[in-house]
Amino acid sequence: MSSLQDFVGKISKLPGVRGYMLLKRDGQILSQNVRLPDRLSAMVVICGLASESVMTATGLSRFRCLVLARGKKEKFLVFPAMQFFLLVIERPDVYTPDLLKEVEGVIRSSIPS
Amino acid sequence: MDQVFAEITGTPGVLGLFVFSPPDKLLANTLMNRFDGPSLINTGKMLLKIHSATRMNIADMSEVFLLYEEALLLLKEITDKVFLVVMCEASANPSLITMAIGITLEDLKAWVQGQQAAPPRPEPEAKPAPAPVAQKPTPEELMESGPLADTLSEMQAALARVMGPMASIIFTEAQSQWISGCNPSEVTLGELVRILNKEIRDPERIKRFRDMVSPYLRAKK
Repeated sequence: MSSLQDFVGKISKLPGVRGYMLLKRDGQILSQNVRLPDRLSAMVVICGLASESVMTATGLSRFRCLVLARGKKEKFLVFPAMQFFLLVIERPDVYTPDLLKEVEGVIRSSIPS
Repeated sequence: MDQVFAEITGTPGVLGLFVFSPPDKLLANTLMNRFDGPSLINTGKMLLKIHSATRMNIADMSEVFLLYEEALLLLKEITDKVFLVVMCEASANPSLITMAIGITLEDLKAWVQGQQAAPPRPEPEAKPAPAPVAQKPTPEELMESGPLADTLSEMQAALARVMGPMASIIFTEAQSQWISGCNPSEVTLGELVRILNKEIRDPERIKRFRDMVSPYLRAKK
């Protein structure tokens, strides 16, 4: 599906992105370029769904992103993307808020009108 | 509240914190004005799930951040299976808060050990929580029950007729904005329509959508 290829193409080309994985909410991987995709896909689904459950428990609205920090190493960012989850592996030297906004911008621009 | 948390709660952007000890204990809580105990315990359980899932794959994970529209949550394991959760404004600086936690980490560990050694004491916040601003209904709750359920279902169906299969996702997103921006009710349905019109964008489709939902808006007056 060309729109899927466009979407992952834009994500992978963002400065600061070392790797990505796009998957359905049941864990089915649609596109990726990471190591150990099967293990990461399970982690992403569990974390994404739990993050959305926190919204229900707290009354907070709109889950934007989950960031898994590893000290000075690369970070793992999990985004809700329509009916999918998107994992982005961020290079260590990147300013996370900037990359977060860019990824959200790509996600928003991919919602069809 | 213990002085050990003052360094963290005094950091700009921090709204409060709680310390969660599975399966269902709150060892500390400065958010009692916003959330009741059960809500925080449920939150703690979800955060524990995230922590456990990530630790199985990322052994050197240091912190977990969850970013929502109006708040940032930071999760940090203080000692084995005791977790600090800091709630901050969405615009807070995560690095600053991480540093504040790092500065006090040894004191936090000692405090936890003291709490675990001491006999349990009753929680002071036994009173029912007031209705805090943060505890608004979710889009799913509005769609499933309550006075607006039928109207919202019809509006979502109308949106699907102009936008196709993406409508359900877009409708949920719009509802979230509506809920966070104002009190969701019959009176403020117009605001939801305004948010949806921005998503639809095309003038002809906006007009078609408005024509389909206008009976629901007029009938409420």
